[in-house]
Amino acid sequence: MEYFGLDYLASSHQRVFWLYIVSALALASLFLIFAPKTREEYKKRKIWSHTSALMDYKYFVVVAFIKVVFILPLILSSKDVALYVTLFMQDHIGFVAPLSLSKEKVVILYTLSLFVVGDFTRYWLHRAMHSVPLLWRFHKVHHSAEVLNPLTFYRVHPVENVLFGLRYALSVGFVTGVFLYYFGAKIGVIQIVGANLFVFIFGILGANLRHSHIPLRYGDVLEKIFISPYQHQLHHTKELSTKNFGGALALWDWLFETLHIEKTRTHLEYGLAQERVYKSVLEMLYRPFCKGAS
Amino acid sequence: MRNSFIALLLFVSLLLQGCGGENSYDGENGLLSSGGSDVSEPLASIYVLIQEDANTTLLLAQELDALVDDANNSLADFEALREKTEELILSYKRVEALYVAEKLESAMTDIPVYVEAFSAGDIDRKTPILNELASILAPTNTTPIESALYKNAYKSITGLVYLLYEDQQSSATLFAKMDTRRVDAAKLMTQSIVTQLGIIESFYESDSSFLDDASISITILLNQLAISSNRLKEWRVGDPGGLTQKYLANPDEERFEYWASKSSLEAMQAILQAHKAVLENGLYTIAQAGGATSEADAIETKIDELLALVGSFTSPIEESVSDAKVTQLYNGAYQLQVSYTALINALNFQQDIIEADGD
Repeated sequence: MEYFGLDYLASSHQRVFWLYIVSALALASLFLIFAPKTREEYKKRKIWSHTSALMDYKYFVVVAFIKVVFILPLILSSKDVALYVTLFMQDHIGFVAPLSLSKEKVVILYTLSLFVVGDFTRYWLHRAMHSVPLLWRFHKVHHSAEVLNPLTFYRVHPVENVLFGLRYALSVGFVTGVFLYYFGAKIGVIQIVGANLFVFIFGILGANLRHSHIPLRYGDVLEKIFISPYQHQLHHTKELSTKNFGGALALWDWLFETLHIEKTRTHLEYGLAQERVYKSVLEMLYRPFCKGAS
Repeated sequence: MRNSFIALLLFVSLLLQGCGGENSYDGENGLLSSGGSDVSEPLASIYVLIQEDANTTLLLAQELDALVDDANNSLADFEALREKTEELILSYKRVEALYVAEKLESAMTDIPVYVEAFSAGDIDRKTPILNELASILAPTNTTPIESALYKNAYKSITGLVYLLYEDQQSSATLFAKMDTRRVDAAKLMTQSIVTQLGIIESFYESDSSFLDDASISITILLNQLAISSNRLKEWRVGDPGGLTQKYLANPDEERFEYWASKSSLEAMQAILQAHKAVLENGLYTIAQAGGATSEADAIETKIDELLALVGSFTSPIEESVSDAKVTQLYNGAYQLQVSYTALINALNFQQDIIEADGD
């Protein structure tokens, strides 16, 4: 039953953790009260009943089953990666007695490292999904959404799911392995309701609004460090899909010159420029494998 | 009806999508959050074990101290002194293997070095200490013994073993050398050992911080066991066997921990037995609670294999440095160290699956 994640709504590692949903709803409500244009946008474009949104819902159902049956058994475990990295270091550098840093300091350092390294690798994989033609074939399933809603987050081709799972296992495994090598059993994560502190902050600050039409911004200065929901919405537009690859941090976009910041526009055109839209869930699943799909 | 079906379908899908959520590092709560298990009882059992070992070792040291007074009475008394010393060493090996005190209180860090000079990872009989002791103990030396033995290292188990065994000399030879100066020196040594072991024993008796925070205690314990298994592999077996980078292909039986008394193998046995006792008295339960039963099983198997290997030597290891069993011991100790690393790793993770983070 562990694989069925029945308690996921209470799992703060999940994007759909109840508190994140509540916080997104609260932020969205406030936004809609004070920004009537956005309210109009939701009505005018029929965001929730749009063909693209309906496709999201169907895709969500199908991919949930695919994930459990086909993807989970394939995925590499970060636990195994961590052990491999620690043993590799022990064999090649030599065994070291755990360094005498206090557990509190190690926990802070480890929590931060997990978050930063995780976000960094996420940036680069996301960027690769756009710049490598073969990967773009799969990633454009996600970008084919013409309207955004929280379930668009799950509009991801299973191949991309596997790649992100692999990225996660390797990055978490690597960081954990290095920390296990230097600090042994001292490592731990600062958690709030069970999630990494930074993941929690990211979740509570409106992670679920990334895939929405609520143009929440953090301001010009903060948006060089943290990706706001609006910046991610810009990434989903036809003209700016090669900008703002960041997951939680905009820092990488800033450093590697893919950052885009602009004042709020009410109407953004999402989806794929000059490309045929997927007509069915089945097509979303098989077309990336077809020749000439890029 | 149709709407209810769609709602149900979406709900079930949502549950399945949630499967990825467990691929997260659970950190310090990984162990304790597993089924909400309370590990305070097994931890208390382990602490009792640590306290008992410290107490037994102190009693042995006190008995040894009492025997020193008769050290030059007869050969039998001298041999009784040597036997008690070996008994003390083996008991102390258990204390050393599970020495968690230094992580609970920084003032306890140096005590093991005062108890035994060869405890910092380097057993080198060519260090000046033994030559200096030879000079200090010489009948021609006129410096009062209390002044001559001014270093803690002189008054440690290392010094006492030298005094009682020198270079693997027979009890008759050394009994013949047991003049008043040597008896006085032995007395100063045992008194110092009793003092240091008394500090350890009192600390464990009076300090209960090990039981305050299970997460920290398990951290300390597992790190200590990993260090202990590494020391077994590296400097108790690897260095004398010429199997480590430092002494590769250069075996030398004099690097064995108790070369002089030929009790290195028994010392290894005592260390392994201490590991086994911890596993049987709580660590296995803790591992089970943290979902790391297979890792605990691997440790148990490895300890049993190593104990069997140690028991299979037909002559002292100090006379079998080139025996293939030394290499087997080295490899086995390495696997034990790896098994502890695997347990530490396992206890820190929850079920590890996938993260849905495509953006």
